[in-house]
Amino acid sequence: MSETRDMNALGDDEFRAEIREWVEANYPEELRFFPRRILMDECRDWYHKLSEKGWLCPVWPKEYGGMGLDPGKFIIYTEEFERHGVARMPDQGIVMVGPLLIKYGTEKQKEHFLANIHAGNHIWCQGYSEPNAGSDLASLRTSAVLEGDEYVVNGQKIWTSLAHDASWIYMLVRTDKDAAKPQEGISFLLCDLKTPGITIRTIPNIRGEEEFCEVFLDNVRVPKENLVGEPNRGWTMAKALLGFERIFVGNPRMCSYALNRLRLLAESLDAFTDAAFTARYNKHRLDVHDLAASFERYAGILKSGGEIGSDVSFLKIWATETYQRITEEMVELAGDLGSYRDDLLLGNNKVDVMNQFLGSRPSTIYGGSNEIQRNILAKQVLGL
Amino acid sequence: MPSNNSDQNDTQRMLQDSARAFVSRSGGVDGARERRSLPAAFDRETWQTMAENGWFGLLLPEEQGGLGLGFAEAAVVIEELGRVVAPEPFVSAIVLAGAVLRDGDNPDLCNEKIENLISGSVIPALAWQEAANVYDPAAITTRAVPADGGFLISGTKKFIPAAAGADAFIVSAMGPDGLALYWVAADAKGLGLSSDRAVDETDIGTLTLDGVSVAKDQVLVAKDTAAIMARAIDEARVCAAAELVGVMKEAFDITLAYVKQREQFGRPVGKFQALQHRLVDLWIQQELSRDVLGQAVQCFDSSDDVANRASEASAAKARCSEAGLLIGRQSIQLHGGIGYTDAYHIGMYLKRALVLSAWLGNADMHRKRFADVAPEVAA
Repeated sequence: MSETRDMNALGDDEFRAEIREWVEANYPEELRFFPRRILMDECRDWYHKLSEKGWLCPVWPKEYGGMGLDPGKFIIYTEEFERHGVARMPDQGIVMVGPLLIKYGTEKQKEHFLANIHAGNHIWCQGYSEPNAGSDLASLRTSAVLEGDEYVVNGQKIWTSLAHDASWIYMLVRTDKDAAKPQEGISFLLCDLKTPGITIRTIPNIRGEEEFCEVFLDNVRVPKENLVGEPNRGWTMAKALLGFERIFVGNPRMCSYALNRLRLLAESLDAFTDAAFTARYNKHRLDVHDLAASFERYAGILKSGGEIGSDVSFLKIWATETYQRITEEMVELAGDLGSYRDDLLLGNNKVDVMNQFLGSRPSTIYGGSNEIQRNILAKQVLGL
Repeated sequence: MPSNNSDQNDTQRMLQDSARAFVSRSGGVDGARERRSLPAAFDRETWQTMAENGWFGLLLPEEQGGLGLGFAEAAVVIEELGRVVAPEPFVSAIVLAGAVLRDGDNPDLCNEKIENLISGSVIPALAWQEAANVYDPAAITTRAVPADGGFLISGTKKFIPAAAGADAFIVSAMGPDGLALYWVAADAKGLGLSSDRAVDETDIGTLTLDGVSVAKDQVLVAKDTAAIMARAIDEARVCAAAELVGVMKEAFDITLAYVKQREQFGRPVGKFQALQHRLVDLWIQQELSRDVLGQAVQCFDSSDDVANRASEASAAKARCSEAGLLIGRQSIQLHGGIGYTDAYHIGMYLKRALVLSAWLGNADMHRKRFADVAPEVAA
């Protein structure tokens, strides 16, 4: 089922109102502002509701059951979901696998996998990082060797978010060990996690959650038709998938939320009578305000049909580091209470100091660490 | 790969070309530094050329003889002036003084002064501040007492940019009907001007008025004076932020070129990751500055809402002041010893940033003001 209208034809306000009204009427109240990554079993009904409405895959083209939204409308869609506190579902199939297959997949792959994403049968996870290939991803060593009609895969993936909740994994694997450059011997492979030889182990994070996993691959046999695109072109395809969605890592929402928590904490502790704290708070406020101004510029480029370049990386750096500074301020302000693991109850206010502080840590690591982002900016934007 | 965001329109591109041609004809940074040694610390001939470019009417409405363009256009010109650390007082004499003349309630007088302002024949200076770090236009002690069908004005005015080159002062004083602005020629009897040099060698004047006689018809603004001044001051803050953006962009460009060319340990110092990351952090501050300035400019070109304008002006002035100083300081550091010499230009960028940051409220003051005027956003 899909949305039959071209929603790009609606006016922005009309479109926003329609998204808002439907989300408010259909999103389960108890899942609003969910405090951690949500699992498929916890949001299955919502997933199906979205799918039935035809709103599950906002940027997929309409011919593949998506909404085909242009960037401007997609930004509004995202804003409305976030405003209502809609949890981020296990969305790798929607965000990555769909666009990958639509661009590079065979007709058979598209038919099979896209339908299973719409139906919620396949939940995908991303197999990129390895124990010795993090920031230097191109050095990855998990190998896939063609034997007859199957690739035999051996190796290990790590930091695989929600692999234990997923049914399929899309992986970057090494198919040519002798390529001139490490980037040139890498392919994209799709693999059913039920295939013999796969072991998944969760890695509890410092918040005590089981969000990421290790995936061990021991002589895993994958049908060769599950290779996406040309062999040894995986790196190029992965880079091409970094589309305009990159601006969302610079979304000011996360910082605004943390700033509000900081304000609540400060009010509870009567900290605004302290001029030194107030000066720091005002600085954080403007850091978030100015982030929003920059985010708006990039959103404006997209809305007017322009293209986003690698300079957009600065949004990720500023958004995540501002987020961390605000959560650090919360711990500092909490004083004795700054060591508490659980949310603080202050009068009628509940403030998740430690949850925010610890939760902000990985933001400067994932999606290309901030150090890597700085390398990219130095090279590609500053020409250093 | 920079983003594809050629956001300038034709008028803005034309203005940028004309500003770039102007700064190159006027000797670039060398010329701008030389002009500081003149008695007024800027050059009247250069001023006249700027007038002939049509820039002085950019922000003034067509019915008053201006071009009726906006802050987006003015910012383009001002940024280019910032890039060569030009000493000519565009923002104080044209933007700040021009705004009170535009909004004045004595149209005959104001329009006459605007005509002279646009032609470059008369350079005014707004003389309003009396105490350091006080930006309330009404918090003054200067008085205008009725006498002989006119007024006698007494008081002291401080922090007047480019006062030594001004032909006339627009003086704020408490008159019989409250706060008003008076036109006072620079050679009026009873007027004393003393000059201090700012760190960038431009002039900062202190004006003493000892019973200066002003004719009745020389009152420019008598109604809503504080509001008109506050509006003008916020417009000048946005334009000062634009000048700071020009200053920081050029300082950054000079520094970036330098680290690519300067070799130590057998390679350009810009190949060292420690310096690369620092340069990226400076560039991030520059990007934030241009974006918060862009937002302020858009607000001033589209909104008359006083609180909205105040918060956007403060946000822009706060970020651009802080970033201008940061980039100025780090530019010297990244140049090493040569950056600390007077002969090399990079130090002038820090000095200009110091002057523009301090004027009309520094970063600290504007962060506080933003907190006072901008409503908190709900979670």
